[in-house]
Amino acid sequence: MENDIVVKICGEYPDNFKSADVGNNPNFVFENDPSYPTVRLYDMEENTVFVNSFLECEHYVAGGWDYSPYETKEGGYYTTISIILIFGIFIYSYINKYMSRIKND
Amino acid sequence: MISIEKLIKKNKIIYKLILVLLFTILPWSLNNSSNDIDAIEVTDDLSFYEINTCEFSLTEILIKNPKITYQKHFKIRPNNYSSIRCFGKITGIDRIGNIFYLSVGTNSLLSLIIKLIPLTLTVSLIKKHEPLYKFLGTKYNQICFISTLVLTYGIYAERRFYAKTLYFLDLETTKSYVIIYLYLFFAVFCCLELINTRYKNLINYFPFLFFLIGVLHGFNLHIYTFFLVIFGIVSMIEAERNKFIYIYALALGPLFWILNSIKYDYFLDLDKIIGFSSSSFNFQSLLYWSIIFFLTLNGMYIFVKRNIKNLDYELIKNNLLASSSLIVTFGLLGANATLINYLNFYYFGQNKVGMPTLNVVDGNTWRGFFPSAETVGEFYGLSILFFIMYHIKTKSKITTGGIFMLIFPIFGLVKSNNVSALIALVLIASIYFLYERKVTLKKSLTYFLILFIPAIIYLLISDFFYSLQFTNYKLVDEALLYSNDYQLSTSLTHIQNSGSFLTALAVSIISTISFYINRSTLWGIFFTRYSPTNLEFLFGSGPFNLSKHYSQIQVSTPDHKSAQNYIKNVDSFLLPHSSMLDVLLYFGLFGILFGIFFIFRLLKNHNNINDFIFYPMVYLLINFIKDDSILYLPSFITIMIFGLLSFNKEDTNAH
Repeated sequence: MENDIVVKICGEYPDNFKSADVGNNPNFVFENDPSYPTVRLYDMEENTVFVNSFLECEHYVAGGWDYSPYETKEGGYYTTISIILIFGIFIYSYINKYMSRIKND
Repeated sequence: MISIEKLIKKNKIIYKLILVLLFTILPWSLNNSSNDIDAIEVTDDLSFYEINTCEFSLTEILIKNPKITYQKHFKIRPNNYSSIRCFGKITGIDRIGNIFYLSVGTNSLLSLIIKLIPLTLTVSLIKKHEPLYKFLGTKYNQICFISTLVLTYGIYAERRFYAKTLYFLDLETTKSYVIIYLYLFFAVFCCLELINTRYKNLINYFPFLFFLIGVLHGFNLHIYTFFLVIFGIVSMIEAERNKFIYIYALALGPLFWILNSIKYDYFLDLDKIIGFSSSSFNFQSLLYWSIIFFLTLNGMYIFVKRNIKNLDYELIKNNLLASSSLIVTFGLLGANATLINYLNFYYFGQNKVGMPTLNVVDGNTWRGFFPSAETVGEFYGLSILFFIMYHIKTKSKITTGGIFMLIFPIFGLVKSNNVSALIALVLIASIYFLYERKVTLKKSLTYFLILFIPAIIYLLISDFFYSLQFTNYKLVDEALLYSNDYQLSTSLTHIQNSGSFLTALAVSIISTISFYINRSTLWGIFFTRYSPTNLEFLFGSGPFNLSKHYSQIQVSTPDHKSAQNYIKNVDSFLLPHSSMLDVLLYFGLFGILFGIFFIFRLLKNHNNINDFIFYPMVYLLINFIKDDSILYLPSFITIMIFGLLSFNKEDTNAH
């Protein structure tokens, strides 16, 4: 079954794709695919690994190496700044109302 | 309490200036890098900066390498694709030939805020009036929410463009649009706060559009698009209607353009027309730009109609001079200092980086600060014309300050090498002078004959005039030169095969005019590309959209055997250099006929139109034929203001 995160990180599944059965073969070696652009993957502790084929990439992503610190941090920055902006509008509105109340008084 | 208020009022300008200064220095100075390494001198070996990207702020690099601020072989370029953590930092240094390119992180979303705040603070220096709408009242909130919604839809409609600049956001998910909505909401809120208390005074400050251009880099938006959308929503909320605008720009036009666009999907790299032109030609983008067109037209119509009584011609004259002077000054500073050139581009929101040199290039023109030498030349001419007219009309004394300020637009006009603007300026200023001094028609004609007969004799002697047979077909000649044998545009096919007298007449007239104003090649290339269906020819393919025009037909570069003089980079983004042709593309024959009707009406009603509106309008119309002013928001708004003022039923002479 196709996994959305795999597609997002590793690219589209090749035709007739079969996952690597590493569990049954502890000496399994992933072969480099020269046509596949190297992808950098991260785990939760921000350790990195470079993968050189779709098969390898799919294997690692399925194993939880799907964490992108830059994207997560970037998303966090965007959210934080948008909250600050809206908070700024609230403060401005409060000051504006306060000032107009003083004026009216 | 009252004393606090007074104190705040007194120091407001100082606070604002300090804030503007902070926003121009801080973003390039802050650095929260965890590493302890220091910036080093930029030399041929760039490996240090290739390894350490996003480690040093621009200021750190400049302190270590002060020569970057002024030496011409350094170029500082914004990198809109960078992440927020790299904002204001060096994201890379490259060397191409002898030029070093320093790429500075300028994340698009953060840039929106960092550019918006100083710009709004500057606009806030305009005198206030009582608010139009109660702060946070129902109408106020409606305007805020609907305007943001329209602008957010614009991001969705042009996803292909934004997928590059906002690549950290997944534009297929709703969450990303919520974030974009919040950023845009902040921007709309700031703009609405300005408009709410300055709506009546803004009209006199339109000249500053040429100085504070306001393109939001990374977005296909101008800061003034926010203003135009708000104006449009205000006009709709107030239910002030112009039947023609509603029938044409809200119903019939969009209905055709949108239905027509369903079968196409073209994309265009906008280059120097970014901010005011669609990047795609498909259903979504046509819908969005049709909404923008309607809101702009209706919003500006109501804005102008309501503010005729607030027109202050002296202020407009001063603002034209001030804006021209600032454009020239900053253009010169940018041409001489790399850092200022970069800051100009970033903060003034230029469509294209200002020229790094004072030498004239590209058709012997110096565009300086503005993306188009022709358009800015026209603006300098307008400033001079308004100045001359004002002093002729009011008979007021010209001050030393006035003369000093006039030097800048004269310098700009000469450097821009816009001969048509210069001729139009001299001609209209002379006509106005004779009219104002009440010189009889007979005398005026005599003066003109005395002036022009020697010129005509000289032109005849020097073989300036070519045979009609040659000039009538020159345009088609040029069009065929750049066309592909396998892909001939429908316009060219029709011109060649129709045999219709009307077509032949129209083409001959356009061709001869184009020849004498040096536009044969550019207009010829326009017809090489112009490939409308019958309905598109009648109603156009939609406002602010050149994507289909530049993507549908491939032009070819002729070889040296087929032509002696030809444009080598013809497949690059060569604009038509005629707003008339842009109108044909946007609104079809209907648009051209409306333009002709407008000119007739302008001439017929000129007695009811104030001289300060009528003569500049004629000047703008003359230049309209041979430049792309409609493609740039500042010049488009200028033409719109003068056009709407002269088209308004209210007698502008009364004010």
